[in-house]
Parts: sequence; C-alpha cells; structure tokens
Amino acid sequence: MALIFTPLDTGRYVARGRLVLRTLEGTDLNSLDILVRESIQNSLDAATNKAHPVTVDFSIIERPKEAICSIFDQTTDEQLNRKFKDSPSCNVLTIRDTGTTGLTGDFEDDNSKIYKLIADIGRAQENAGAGGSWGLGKTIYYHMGTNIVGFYSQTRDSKNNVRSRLSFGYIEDERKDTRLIPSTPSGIAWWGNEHGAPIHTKASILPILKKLGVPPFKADETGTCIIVPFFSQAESLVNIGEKAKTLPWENNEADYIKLSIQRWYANRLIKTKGKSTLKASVNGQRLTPSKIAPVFEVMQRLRKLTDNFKEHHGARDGLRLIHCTEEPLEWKIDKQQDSMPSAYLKALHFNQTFQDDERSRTPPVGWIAAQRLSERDLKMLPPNNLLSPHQYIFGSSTDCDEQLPIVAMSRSPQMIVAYNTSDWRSGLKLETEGEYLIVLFVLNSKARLLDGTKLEEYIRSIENPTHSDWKDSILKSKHKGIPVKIRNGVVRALRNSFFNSTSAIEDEPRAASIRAQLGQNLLPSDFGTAGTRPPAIKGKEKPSDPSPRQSQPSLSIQDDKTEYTHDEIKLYLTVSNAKHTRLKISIEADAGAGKTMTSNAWTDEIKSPGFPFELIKFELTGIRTLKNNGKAPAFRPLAPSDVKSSIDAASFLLTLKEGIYQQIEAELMLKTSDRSVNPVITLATAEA
Amino acid sequence: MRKKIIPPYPTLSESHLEVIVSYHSDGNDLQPENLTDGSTSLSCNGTPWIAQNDSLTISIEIDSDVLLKLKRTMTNVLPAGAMAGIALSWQSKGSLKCGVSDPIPLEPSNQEQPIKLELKFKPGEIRDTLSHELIVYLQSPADALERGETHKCNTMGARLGILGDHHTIRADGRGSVFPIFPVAGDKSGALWSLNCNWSDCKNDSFDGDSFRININTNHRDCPGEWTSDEKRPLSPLTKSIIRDAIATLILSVQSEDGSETWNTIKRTESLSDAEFSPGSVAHALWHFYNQNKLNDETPADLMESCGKIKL
Repeated sequence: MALIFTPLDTGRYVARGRLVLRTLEGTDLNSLDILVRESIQNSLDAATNKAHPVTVDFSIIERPKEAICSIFDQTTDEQLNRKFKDSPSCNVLTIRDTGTTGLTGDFEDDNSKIYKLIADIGRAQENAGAGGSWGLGKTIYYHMGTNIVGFYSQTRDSKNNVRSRLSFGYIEDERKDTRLIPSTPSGIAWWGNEHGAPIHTKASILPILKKLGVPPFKADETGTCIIVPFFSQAESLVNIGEKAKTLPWENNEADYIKLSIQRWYANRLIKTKGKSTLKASVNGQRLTPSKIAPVFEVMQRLRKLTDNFKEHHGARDGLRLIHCTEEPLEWKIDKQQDSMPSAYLKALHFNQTFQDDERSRTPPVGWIAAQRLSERDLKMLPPNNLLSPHQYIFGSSTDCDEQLPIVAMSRSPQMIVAYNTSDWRSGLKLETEGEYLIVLFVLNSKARLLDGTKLEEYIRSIENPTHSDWKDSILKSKHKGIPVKIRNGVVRALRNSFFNSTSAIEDEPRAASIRAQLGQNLLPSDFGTAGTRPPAIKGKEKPSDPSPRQSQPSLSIQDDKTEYTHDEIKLYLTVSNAKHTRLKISIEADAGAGKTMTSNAWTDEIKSPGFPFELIKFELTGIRTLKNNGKAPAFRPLAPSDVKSSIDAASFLLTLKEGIYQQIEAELMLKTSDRSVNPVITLATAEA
Repeated sequence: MRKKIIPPYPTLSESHLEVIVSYHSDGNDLQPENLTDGSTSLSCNGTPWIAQNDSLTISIEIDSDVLLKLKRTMTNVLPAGAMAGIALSWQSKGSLKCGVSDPIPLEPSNQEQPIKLELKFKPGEIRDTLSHELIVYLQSPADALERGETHKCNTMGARLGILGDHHTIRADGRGSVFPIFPVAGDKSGALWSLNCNWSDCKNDSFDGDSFRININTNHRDCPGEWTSDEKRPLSPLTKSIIRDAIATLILSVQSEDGSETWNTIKRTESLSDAEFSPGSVAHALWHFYNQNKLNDETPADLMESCGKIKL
C-alpha cells in the first residue's frame, strides 16, 4: 500500500515552504552540524527517564531507488523516478533514538508531539531547560535530501499500550519551477493515511520500513526514527567551501557526523547530574571514550571541573589550579600568584542582576573553566600526530589563528552552543606557539533575574533559530546586555589569569603611542594602573586626613655600623613613625623569593638543626619626639617612662607610651649558628 | 609588616652616594616624571616614551668625588685585598628579561676619572616596567684570607650594596591609557564605532574591555595617524571623534538607570568619598566632567561642551 498524499492548501495564514526553509539561512554552521545538534537535542529533550541513557544512532544506508519511490503515491513515485533517473540506488539517512518517549499524542491534537513535529512547523519548544526555542531547527531535515522526511515513531499511550506511526512530510520552495511536486500551492505536504494522518497499523508500516531498510522498533522500545530518503552528500558537505577539504572527516558524511557529535555533545557523552547520558553511534559504531578527540576530552574535563567546584564560593575570586596527578587527572589549588596556572575556574558574578538564592547568596551568572595545554597534552606529536583543537572545532573552512583561545559556551542541556575565538578574544593571544587555551563557560541554570525570570529561559529565548549564539534581542530590552557582560567577564578573567596585561594587546605600535598620548592629555596621571586617588578638585578640598600609609611605622638598619664577629651580628635599628603603642620586632630566617620563616615555623618544618638565630641583647638607645610645632624632630635620651620592652629568643615587644614617636633607636645583638642563612628583621604592630 | 634582610657580611650603608641618571631615546633627551606609585614615566617634550615603539638608553655618571667617597666606604665592607666593581642591573618583569651591564672595576687608585655607564634597549624589548639600579659587587676576591677572618663576602659576585636609587620606569608612559584602537573594518563600514561593554561602570576599569573607540583603517576618510608608520600629530578629525565619543559615553551612562549612576558621579566632590573605584569608567567620567566643566543640561549642551575638550 502506498502512502496517500495530502497537500497543505494556501490561505492567508498558511505557512509557505519558501519561508519555512529560509529560517535556517544565514547561519555559519554546516548543515550536518545543524542536523546533529537539532536531532540529538530533540532526542535528549524526549528522554523517558533521566536516570536512563538516551541512544541516538545516525546511519546512512544505500537502497534501490525503485523501492523508495514505490512507497509514495503514483505522482510522487513518477516525479522521483524522473528526478533521479540516472541513479539505480539512493542513500537513506536515519536518525534513530531510543530511551525516549517517541512522538506521543494524537495527530488531531495540536499540542501533541507528533503534530508539532510533522505539521506544526515553527512552533517553539516550551519545556523548561529544553534545547531550543524556535522549533524551526527541525526544518533542517528538509534541507538534507530531496525535501522529503519520514517520521517513524513508537510510543506508549495513556493505557501503556505500544503504538507505532509513520508519516512523511514535504517542504519545498513553492515558487521554484523545478520543485518535486508542483501540485502543492504552499510547498508543504505530507503523506499518511486517507485522513491525512500518520499510518499506524503494523500491516501498513512494516512493508514500508522494509523498503526503506529501516528495522522496526522492538516490542518494548519507544523512540523516534527520522528518515531522510535521497540523502545527498553533495548537499550536506557543500558548506565546507571551495577550499581543499583537507581534514579526514570533510569528505564523508558518516565521519563528519561522528566528529560533529563530539563537537557539540561531548559533554553529554559523560554522566550528567539529573540528565540522561547520551549514547551516540554512527552506522552502528558506538562513540566510546577512546574514540573522542583530545580537545573534546578537555571539554569533558572542564565540565567535570565546573561541576566539582560549583559549590565552592571561593571560586568567586577565581581558583588557580595545577595538576595533582596526571592519570587520572586531578587538580589542586595553586596558591602561587606569580606563575601561570594549568587550569582556572571562576564563578562569574554580576552586580544587582539576580535574586539571592535560598541561602541568601547572590548566585553567579555562570562558571568559567579553562585549561592551558601543550601539543603533547593534545596528542599532536608523534606517534599520535593528531590535529589541533582549532582544526577539530572549526574545520578547514575557517582561517583562524591557533594562538587565540577557544571559548565554548553552554547552558543546561550541556550542548555547546557555540565556539568562539576572534569575537571573544579582545586582544587575548597566547605568546607561545604550540600552546593552547581551551575555555568552557557554563551558564547558571538556577539563577533568576531580578524580575523572577529564569536566566536559563531568558538566554534560551534570545538564541537564534539554530541556537548557535547568545545575542541581545531588540524585543527583549529589559535584560539587555547580559550576553555582552558574560563575554566581557570571560575575557577579563582569562586576561587576569593567563595573559600578561601588556602582551595581550595585539595592536599597532603606533596606536599604543596615541593611546598613551591621549591618556596623558585626557586622564589623571597613573589613572587606573596603581589605583591611586588624585587630589580633590579645586575648591572642593576636604580636610586632610592622614592616609593609612603615612601612619605605618618603618624599620631601617644602619648598615655601615653593623658589626660582625665569628658568630654574632650587632645591629643598630631605627623605627620611624612609631605611632602604635605596641610594636613587635622579630628575627626570622630568609627562605628566598621574598619569603621568611619564623622560629616556630622553622621548628615545625625543619626541626633539626634548630632555628639558627638567637636574640641575645636588645637595648633602646634613644628616642626622637616631635617638637611642639609638630614639624622638626627633637632628640632626647630615652626616659624609662617612655618604653617598656620584653624579649624572648626570637623577638622583642615594645610597649610605648601614648603618642607619636618620630624615631626610636635600638641596638640589637644576634647570635647566629648558621652563616649560610640570612637573618631577616621584621617589624609588626602587635595587638594589645 | 616591614621586613629587612640582613646579609651575613657587611654591606654599604643605605645613605646613598649620589649618581647622575639620564635617559635618551634616538638621541633625544627624555624627561623623567615621578608618579604617585613610586615609578617614573619618561617623555620627550610632552610626548610619552612608549617602550613598545621607542628605544631607550640609560646613562649613568659617577663623578670623581663620589668615587673617592665610595672607595673609602668600601674599606669597611670589603675583605682586604679584594676588589669591587660597579654594574647596572636591570629587570623587566613584563618581558621576563633581566641582565647586568658590562662591569667597571673600582681600581684602588687615587687619580679618579668619572665613570660613565650606558645601557641600551631596543623598541619592544621592555614590557610593563623596567627596574634598574647601580650595584656594587665583589669583582675579584682576596687571594688569601687572614687567619681567623670569617668574612662571608669573599666570593665573586657577592653584592655589597647599591649606589644611588632604585628606579622603576613605566613602559607605557604615565600609565594612563585612553582606549582607542585601529581596526581593519569594511571599506563601506563606519569610520568609527563605540563599544560600551561595561557591566558595572562604577567598578569596571576604563579600558578596552569596557569601553573602546574603534577607528576603521580601511575607511577612505581614516586619518593618516592611524595608517602611517611615521609619527604624526592627532588630526582634527580624530580629535572630533574622541570628543563625540566622550559625549556619547556620558549619554550612555545617563540612559542606564534613569541617570542615577550619572547623578552619583556628578555629585562626587572628592575621590576620597567617591562611590566608584579608582580607574573605573565612572572615575574617567568624573574626571572628564570636572576637568572640562561639561554642561549636561541637555544632550545638545553636552555635545557642545564636549566639543571644547582640550586634546
């Protein structure tokens, strides 16, 4: 039995094939990428149970042309035979998911999944946390072959009975003279039973599936199989462009689909809390972890890193991470601030944008996770000789500078919405060739904007039809600026953690001079670089208030008077601006790189030999106070009432009489047992 | 906390002997200016010296009197029979480079000739900052130590102290940078465009991330200073663009939250009680507004008064 043809009549409010197909124009993505993104997202959104995996298989099978044509009505059969008269066979692409609900509901019900997928072109996805919003992404199937797409699905009805249905849809530009079926005024039609609905009896479905080479679902399975007859290689890989297709997957759709799954869904191939894991295969070959390209393993690692650190509020200021172990890769927090970290994690916060969460904390807009990698890490060196991350992600159709970081953005479904290099780099460029920076930004799906709107829903609503970018919508100006703020926040975090502020600017040298010249003319001196505060504007000066810097005591040593004996050093100290009433002067050991060890730290960490210094004498020799006019210091001998001191083996404590002492002079004798260690004198204000 | 390392051998006193330091670029004298953070900026007749574009020569002169005093002082810290040397030590953290100039030995002679040291850097060799100081070190140790002497300093290279001051030169002029960038846009695109990308103008830095003027170098009217390799003064067109951009920046902040932020900026009398961070977009606006006595009563007044900003 052949399927019966039902055209969609024209009318004022009836969709036109031309307009529907045009919705996906203007995207930079290859049509196979859109196909993979759209079909997997539809499958994941339809998962029956979040604890169970969703399997998606892409297969390309070759079938006799006659067999395929014969499933349609006579007119269509003739048209297809005429169009493909020179080909004895044709390719059929099938995208089959299981672990999903299938196309549920009745075709007569406008809100049923089956009606929405087949007949209600352009209706948006309404489920919270779903992948898309436009519902136009599904039109990608009609771009892949000869504008005919089959939908075979097995579902369970409200009584838990298994139901199967099969239907074919057709969308083509109704103005094209060469269109396959001229008898459709709107360019939209479908094939099913005599009522225009999908066929649903086994007797009618199984012979058609046999002709298509599509195995039926097992008795207890539910799922959907999208069928694209006359799947065209030339059409699907045409977007790669005129350049030589130099990369292995660019000449074969199956290989391209395999890579595309990794490109967009690598992070769903691993376990995701509260979501079904994706099990993907191409032509029956499962995409196992060993088949994932290194750059996508990095993406998985960054996602895990984000998951693990999400609850750490310390990430607000950014966590610098280094490898703790290589296999399996574990991270630890790097406390050194002066070296470049291996990885970095930061919770990105905006001021006054989100409602506080249930624990009265301001939620972040998302998390930034980044990893710096070498060619060795990415297996680009012999014996693996794999390709660079930029080639895996951008292919050969885009010329991109491999020293630019790659920033991937994702939200709740964990699909990578887009990869960015040039748009987000804002002057960031790695200096070392052969080094790569891979970054993942994960949106906080739980954050709510101040008016109660879920951030996830807002971002989903501003994605384009292929949900491949986040851009402000002129229609939704209320929360305008969030995508730009996210981009700026990511760039700023990367700049602070991985880039030298000056070297990061890729610019003409002449322009740097002009900026500096203008900075000199237009801005205050040293504006913004040292955080200094210029004086108050004229006529509005406030009473002067000594800054904290001025009130800090300082320590100096009269080097030329220092005396050395075999195991003793005699020092003459001066403490200036001794405003605080309690000062502690200690002897510590120089540990190099500007660090010191106190006697306690030495005892704890080194134990033997013991702390190499001992304070054996401390004597105050003089004091200078301010004269009455508050300007010139006057020297006078120390009065017993001025200062009390106490001494132990490594420090002494001065207790001063209230008031500002311009200078205090003291003599100090130090016994040293190890001349290879430098003593360090430290001065600190002590708590009363 | 203040810390002071005590080397286990005598060193020169902190009471400095004065040396004369001068800076030059391509034969032109550079004038140093001390900045509030203790660093120094260099300029040539008002034009900032930028390490990325300009060469630098550091010249240091030590006159004969200073040398005599130095040698006298050295007897207190140097082991008998050892000889000291002088060299210019430098480091530029931003370019991860450091070095020492060719050393000059301090010969034990009373006939002193002034010493002159020079160190040259090519354009682009320095980034962020250049720190330099004149170091006195032990150039050749004493042949034999006297019996019982415990002097740890008798090792070649031991640092005995510094002469003069420690200097830190900024590689980017005074450190104040106005974010204007040349971009290779479409020939038919706009000559200039503005990016106002701050998320919080009171705290986000006034830099290329938050705010930038892009000049399209492919536009046929692009002023020559953006396309020429030679130094050229700012053209009237570039000045006009900058003035318009500042006015647009203010209008943009005014429109943000019903002028609340802008009013806060305007009301600020002194930076010491400002509600914005130093170096922020708001700080720049506050400075533009007060420095140029801008009139913001109407957009037209603002545009007109911005048109008079001195550049």
